[in-house]
Amino acid sequence: MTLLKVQGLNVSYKTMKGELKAVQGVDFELEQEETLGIVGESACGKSTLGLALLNLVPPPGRVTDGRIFLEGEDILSLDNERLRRTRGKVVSMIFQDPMTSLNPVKKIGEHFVEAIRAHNPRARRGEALEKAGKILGELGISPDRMADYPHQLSGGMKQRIMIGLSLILDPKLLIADEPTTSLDVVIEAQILDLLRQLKSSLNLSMILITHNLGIVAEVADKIAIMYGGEIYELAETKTIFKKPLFPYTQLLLKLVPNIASESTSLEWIPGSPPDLSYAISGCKFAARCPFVFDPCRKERPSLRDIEPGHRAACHLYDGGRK
Amino acid sequence: MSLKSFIVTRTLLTIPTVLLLVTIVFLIVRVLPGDPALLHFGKQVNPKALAEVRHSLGLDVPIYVQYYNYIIGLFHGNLGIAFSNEEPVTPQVLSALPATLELSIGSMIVAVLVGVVLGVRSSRRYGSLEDKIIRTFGAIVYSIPVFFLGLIFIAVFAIAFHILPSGGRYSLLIPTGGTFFGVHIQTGLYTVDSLLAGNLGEFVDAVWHLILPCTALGLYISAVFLRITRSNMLETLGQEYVTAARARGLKERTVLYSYGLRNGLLPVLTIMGLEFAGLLGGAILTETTFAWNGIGTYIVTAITDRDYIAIQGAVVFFGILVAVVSLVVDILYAYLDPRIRY
Amino acid sequence: MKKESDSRIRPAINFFFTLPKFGTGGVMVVIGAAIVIILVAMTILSPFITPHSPIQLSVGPADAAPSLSFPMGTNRLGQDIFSRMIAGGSTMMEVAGLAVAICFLIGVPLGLLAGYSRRLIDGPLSLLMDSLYAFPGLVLAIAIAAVLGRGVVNLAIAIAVVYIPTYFRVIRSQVLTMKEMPFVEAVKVEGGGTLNILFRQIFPNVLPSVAVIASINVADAVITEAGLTYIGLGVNAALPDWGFDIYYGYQSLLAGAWWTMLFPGLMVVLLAGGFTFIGEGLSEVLNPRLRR
Repeated sequence: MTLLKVQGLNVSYKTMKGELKAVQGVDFELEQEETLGIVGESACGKSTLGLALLNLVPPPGRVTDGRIFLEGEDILSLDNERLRRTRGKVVSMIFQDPMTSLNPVKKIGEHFVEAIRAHNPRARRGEALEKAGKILGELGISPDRMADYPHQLSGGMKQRIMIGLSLILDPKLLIADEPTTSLDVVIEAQILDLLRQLKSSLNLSMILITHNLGIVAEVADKIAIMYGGEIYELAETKTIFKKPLFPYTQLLLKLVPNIASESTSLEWIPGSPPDLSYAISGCKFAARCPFVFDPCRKERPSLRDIEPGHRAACHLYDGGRK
Repeated sequence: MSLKSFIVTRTLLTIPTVLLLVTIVFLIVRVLPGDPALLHFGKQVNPKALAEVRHSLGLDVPIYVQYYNYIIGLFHGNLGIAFSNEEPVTPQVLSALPATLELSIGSMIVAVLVGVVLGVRSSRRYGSLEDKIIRTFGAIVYSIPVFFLGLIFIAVFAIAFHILPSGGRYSLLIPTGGTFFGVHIQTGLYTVDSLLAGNLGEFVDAVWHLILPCTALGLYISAVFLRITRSNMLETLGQEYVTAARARGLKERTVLYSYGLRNGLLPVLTIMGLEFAGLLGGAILTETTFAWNGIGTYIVTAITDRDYIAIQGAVVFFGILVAVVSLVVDILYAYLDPRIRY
Repeated sequence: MKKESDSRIRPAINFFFTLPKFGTGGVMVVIGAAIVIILVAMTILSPFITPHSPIQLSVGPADAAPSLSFPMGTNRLGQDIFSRMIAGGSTMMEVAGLAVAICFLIGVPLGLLAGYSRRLIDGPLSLLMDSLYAFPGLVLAIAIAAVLGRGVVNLAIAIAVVYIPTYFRVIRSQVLTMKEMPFVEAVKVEGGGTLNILFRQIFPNVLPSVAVIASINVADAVITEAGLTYIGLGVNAALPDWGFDIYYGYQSLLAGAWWTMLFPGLMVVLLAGGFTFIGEGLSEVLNPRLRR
């Protein structure tokens, strides 16, 4: 059974300017032990999408449409108690900034005990701490650290602890929202290594949300390209890199500086991401697309199979192959 | 830094603050108006009698000697000798203290209850109509002078409906306290004393008289608690570690109390310490309105009598009281928030 | 000539109309400002609009309930309360206004100075301000007022001394943050002197907070002035004054004449409330709570 199936997901925020559609019409699936990378620039809605998968979008935001099937059950329709029990146990999440993800006035050990007790109220404290110590050990953190407060630990350690906390209940799906963005490159490499190991040793499914194509190249099986709150391309990692269909994807790949190339200036995509508080007709990327033509501004392209296993939403591919 | 060294440092820091405070009061009362004795007695007084009084009160020595005597006197708990009855100020202030304390504590309880409960409620329903109503209520209450609020309460509850007394601390007899392990204790706090004596009637009477003044003063102070609690809760509940906690499947109640309230309420403690100062100020006005024999009434009477030494003594006493309360609150805060002990 | 005045008023009026766009905050500012303007105008025009003389005794029967001829009733001395309400705000407004002016003129420069200077100057200043700040405000005001005696200036000074530390602290902490910021460094690199930095770079950025504090300050000053008058430290018992009237009203209240203290109290609440609304509204407008 497909582990995760998202259908027509729409998330909006009520702002002073009006309704901001952060996520529009998102569809995708994820199988067991698969890793999906969701790539997009800032404010494209990817973080909101991540939160929506746990139904944790904060007010003034809310899911306005769609379904999220986790192991066959639509979590958007679950009552609060069942939803709560799903979180942490079936699906869990780690966040971008480890500095602010841990409760500053609680010791590390307490975080674990609390998480365990939330799902098993009768769990004994000693056992919980033992279990926590074990998982921390596997993540390369000495169990002594459990008596420390978050502000006494480094960023890298905190992120590992976050990973530990999210895995302590053996969830099937881990959502990682920019897990390495606020860490330096060396620590980033370590954390990515860690995630790769966990992927194979725990048979974990992952959704990795990032703006960095380099990261997903190493860790993800599939990649979804997100822009302006919509998914514009979805395919296996190798395919995306070898044969990107959506113009934005092509440009993104060109942006990565290549030491071997001869050009001395950096590439960039002119223009800026659309303001989602205003409704935009047609393709959201039209304003910046080098291949833009008439239908782009009038009609929204739908995400469909251009080639087997390779979906894209672009009018360039209307009426058969390009 | 450990808790102990923090306590020591903080306590030591209080000393220069108090010293400065005391000096300021001294300057205000002794130096500013010229000769406090002359102002008290007026220009028609017999110069010889005036000189005698000044001598007996130690006012005819140079200013710096007066200052020195003043400070030394303070260390011994001597707040000076009042003009009006030539009695030492300290016992007068101390005997008026319990009334003010009872009023202050009762009001603080009301203020925290109202402010925090409404603040939490308002933050949980961010942006809703209820939120806006509560915030408007807060803004309006902030603008009502406490004595006016008191007067309205009297008008409604005492005069129109005759439910509650319009003033005073008691209608029966003054509770005389009781015995505790063989020792007779009379605190001056009527509620406590009546309980010690086991006299329920006196207790109810004392509480009955406390309701209106404490509610008036409490509501007046509650506006600040409401605003601070609301903004703290909003900030705390918006923090990423709260979302992360929810993502781990923690119960909403756990999240609210253990994460939200605990972190969000810590500043409330500091505010309690700061507001205590405002409370004392408001107490003066409340005591006047409700014929409450506390330090406030003492000060107002001293003002009418132009008894500057009494005013000085009471004001210094208040200042030291506030400094001590601040100290206790800061230490408590450090104990509860491990981050503060830089 | 016509064009000149037009071009200056219109932006101002437009500014007011754009405020509601800022949500609740803007609305609050507009409401508060409207209330204040109406009250001030009323007080200024009072000699022309009071139906009876506010200070004349026995215009009507003593402690008479509100009626058509005396919409707010009369007080113990037979004075028309309605007229006294129209005229009674002047002392309060003078005192509050002067107090805020003093606070601004002293607190802001001191705050700027302390935030920008080294510990030698900042240290003692902060210590002084902290001591004052920790003091029960009303108590200090009472002490100073009691000692200085009656008079608009004296009351204003008493109130100002209590609030200067608040201005000082807020500005000082803002300056401390700002002086490390890149835009200040940029000016320094271009050779800008200290005074230049302080007044042309930092001060304009500090103004929004000052505006918020000042509004709340006026509200507090109004209430404090009422309080001081209530316990007998007022300015002049002969002039109509809301604070005094509340005090007189207390005795009449016990006899059942509730209107004698209600109306003056409501006026104080209105004036203080107006400024509080401005302050709260400004604070919301200038620090929008971004929820994403």
